[in-house]
Amino acid sequence: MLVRSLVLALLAGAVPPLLDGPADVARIREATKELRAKPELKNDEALVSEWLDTLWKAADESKDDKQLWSALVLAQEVAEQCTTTKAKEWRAKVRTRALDRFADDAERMLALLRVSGGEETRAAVLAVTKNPSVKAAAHWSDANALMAKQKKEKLSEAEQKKLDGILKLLQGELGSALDARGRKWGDVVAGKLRAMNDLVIGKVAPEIEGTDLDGQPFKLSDYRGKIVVLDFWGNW
Amino acid sequence: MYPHERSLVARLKDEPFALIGINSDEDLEKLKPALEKESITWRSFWNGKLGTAGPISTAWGVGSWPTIFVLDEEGVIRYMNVREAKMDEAVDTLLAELKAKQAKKAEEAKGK
Repeated sequence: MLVRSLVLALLAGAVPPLLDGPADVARIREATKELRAKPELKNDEALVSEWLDTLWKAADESKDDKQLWSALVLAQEVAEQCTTTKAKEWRAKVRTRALDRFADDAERMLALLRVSGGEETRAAVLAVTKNPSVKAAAHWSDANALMAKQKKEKLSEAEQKKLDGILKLLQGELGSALDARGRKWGDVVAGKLRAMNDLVIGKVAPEIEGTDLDGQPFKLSDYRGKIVVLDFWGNW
Repeated sequence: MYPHERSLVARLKDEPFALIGINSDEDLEKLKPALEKESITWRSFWNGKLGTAGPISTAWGVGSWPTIFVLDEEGVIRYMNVREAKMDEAVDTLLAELKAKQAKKAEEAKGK
């Protein structure tokens, strides 16, 4: 592998990559940015194998959790996005290693669910994590998948039961677990359900009570009798 | 965004119309100079220091910015995510509707 990378680098006229873990991870991270523009790379058996082998080795040689995580999460991303035989084989392998070490690390598990949000990952995460925020995030991904399906077809009885159970769980037992932004999961889920079911054309908008930018309290219903444009905005 | 909203607010200043913001900036002190510079005169709720994760946008399930709702005089949601010319069109339609209703009411009152 070493020889091959050197030869490849020389052929490309590039400076050979530094042969230590973090530099390899950084090099591959840069390279994977091209996947969007050049989707054919996803099916390049030699290239994807080199990435995964190198990342696995970088994980072996990592000096701390930070290095281990950055190698693993990138490997997971590669394994998820690429379509080579090796990539498919490695999905579970990389995931298992990430879960062994980081199952209760909420932030990292949320990142894992972001790069690898499939049903298998969610089930694997749920099977090992004890962290309520991680559980809630995995359940919520499950719920979203079911709700997306529900828009297209009627759910089976089992699926409907599963969805109802998850929504109940997220607003009950897991309702006070915090999401990555510091909000209670119960509030997040209630808001999303409200947006789907009640914030639709023809329904009365719910009340907003708050303060303006000068700290003066006011309510949305103060403006009954007027046509109102309600604009969720930010200066960015 | 601001120029359009500014001109809408100016054009309809004598009409039964209000533009109400839900501002999702985390830091109000940093926002204040922009309010002045951009002449943002309309009233906004502040979504709090969690910014886009604040309580109002969370309660409304809003996940993208900007998000727009246009409400009629009874608070009913009539349009969503209309921008620029479409926003003007929506507001003008609702104002015309409101005026027609008021005229009809006045007519009925006269008839009695």
